[in-house]
Amino acid sequence: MVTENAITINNLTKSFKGFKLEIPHLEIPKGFATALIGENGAGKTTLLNILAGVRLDYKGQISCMGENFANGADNAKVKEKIGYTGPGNYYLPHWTVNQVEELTGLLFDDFNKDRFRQICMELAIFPDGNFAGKKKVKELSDGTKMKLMLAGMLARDTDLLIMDEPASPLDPVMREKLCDTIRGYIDSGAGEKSVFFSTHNVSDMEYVTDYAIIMEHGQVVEAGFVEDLKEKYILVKGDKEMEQAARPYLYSVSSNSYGFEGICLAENMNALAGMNLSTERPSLFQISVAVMKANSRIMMNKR
Amino acid sequence: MSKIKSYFAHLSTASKVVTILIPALMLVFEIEGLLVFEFDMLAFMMAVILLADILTDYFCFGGIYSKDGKVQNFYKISPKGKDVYMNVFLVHGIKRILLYFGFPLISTSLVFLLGKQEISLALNGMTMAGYLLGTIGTAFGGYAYSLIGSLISRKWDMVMVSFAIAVWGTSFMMIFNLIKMWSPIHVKVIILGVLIVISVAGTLFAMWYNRKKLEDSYYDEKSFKRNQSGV
Repeated sequence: MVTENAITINNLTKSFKGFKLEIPHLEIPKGFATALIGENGAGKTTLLNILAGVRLDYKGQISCMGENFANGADNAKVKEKIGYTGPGNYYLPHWTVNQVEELTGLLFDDFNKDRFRQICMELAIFPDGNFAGKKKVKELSDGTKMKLMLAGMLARDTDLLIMDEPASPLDPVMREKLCDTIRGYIDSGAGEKSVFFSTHNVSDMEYVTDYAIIMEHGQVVEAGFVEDLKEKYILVKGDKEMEQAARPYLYSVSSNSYGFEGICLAENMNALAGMNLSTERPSLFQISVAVMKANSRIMMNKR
Repeated sequence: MSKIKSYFAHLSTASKVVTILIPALMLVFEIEGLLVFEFDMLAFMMAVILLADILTDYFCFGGIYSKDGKVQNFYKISPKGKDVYMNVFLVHGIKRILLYFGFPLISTSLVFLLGKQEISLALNGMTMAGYLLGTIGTAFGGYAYSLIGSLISRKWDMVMVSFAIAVWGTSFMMIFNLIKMWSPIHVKVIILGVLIVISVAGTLFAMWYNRKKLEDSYYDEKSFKRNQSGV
């Protein structure tokens, strides 16, 4: 598939206290929802913060929405096109919702106050259904604070959304709403709007994910369109007696006393020929876990 | 005008009311004190203003300098966020100067306009020069304490810390007033000199520190910025 890129990264590095983010080349396609998946400490937040202009301690070249910046340069020119939500609340706790609305309007020329209020209602930020502008940020739950940040971001006219763990504090219903919102945002852009988000909730976010990037230890270990990844990897299931023979060709294996299942590269399927195995199309969650396990430093219990 | 608008957007309704109401109320009390009780209450009034100022500062900027705070990100993601952030503190600084120097100026002017300067001089048992030096000292004392107190209190998002600093501030103003009242004129001059140095240095430090907090939040390593700029 030939696609334009929303973001292109070349030779990106950032080091700090034993951690090194090192991305020789990465492309994030325009017009799609891209999920950034990885263990804690894999470098997801660092990467998103660099792209959003929140961190400048990087080396390398970044092209974002047609603008180039490199080696710690601020991405001031594209900030008007980017919406960002962080992993934690970035409003002061004693600010009221009215203040958040006013301050966001001051910081962004494209902020639409009516749309903000409408999104606040759509996201059910106020339990009684009335816009309670006097409510303080500290009186909101973690999930509602995230909804408020999302409302502030979505009430702007942007071309790229960068979201760090937006689903984590949200309940399942709200996660589905978030997926719908992301899909609606992309659809409204006719191929020009893109979303880049990190998530640990791969299953919940799978239906909206077009492209996935898996990171481990500061490096990209897998990237591709979800449909391509599902062709590249195959879920293999078999009886217990086949496990030892199949294990060398599997990315990750989970087994019990009856049988096993694991993720195998499609190109290695020939090596498993002749074994009494069944195959299935894996989910993004299964692929992600397999790839992460293969690269993880976590001591996994053998199952 | 946009700078003032940005500043007021950072104030809660209560903070806006307190910011305007308390100095006005204190002025009324000052006039009442002079006319009804024949008593110059400037030091008490300044203590109350200091208390209100540090507490309202918490409700505007409390926790903005905290170590794990992410509020700077809100400004950093905006193309004009840095300017708004710096302008807000600039206006806040000007407001502080107007409050701590304007109030004593108006109050002392009223003392003279109402012909009550003899009350102040008799109460304080001092010469006119000593009285004026003491008044200027009160202004600088309140200003310096407010500057340093709010810088410290903003490091925590804890109202009790701000409250404690505010209460210490009122005690400071009262003790300072006693010292100021009973000091000979050359001691007053020395105290005023020290307070002027603290106020000027404190103002420069506050401006530097505010910018530094924003700039540093872009980097894990302070050396990175220097390396990037080739220093």
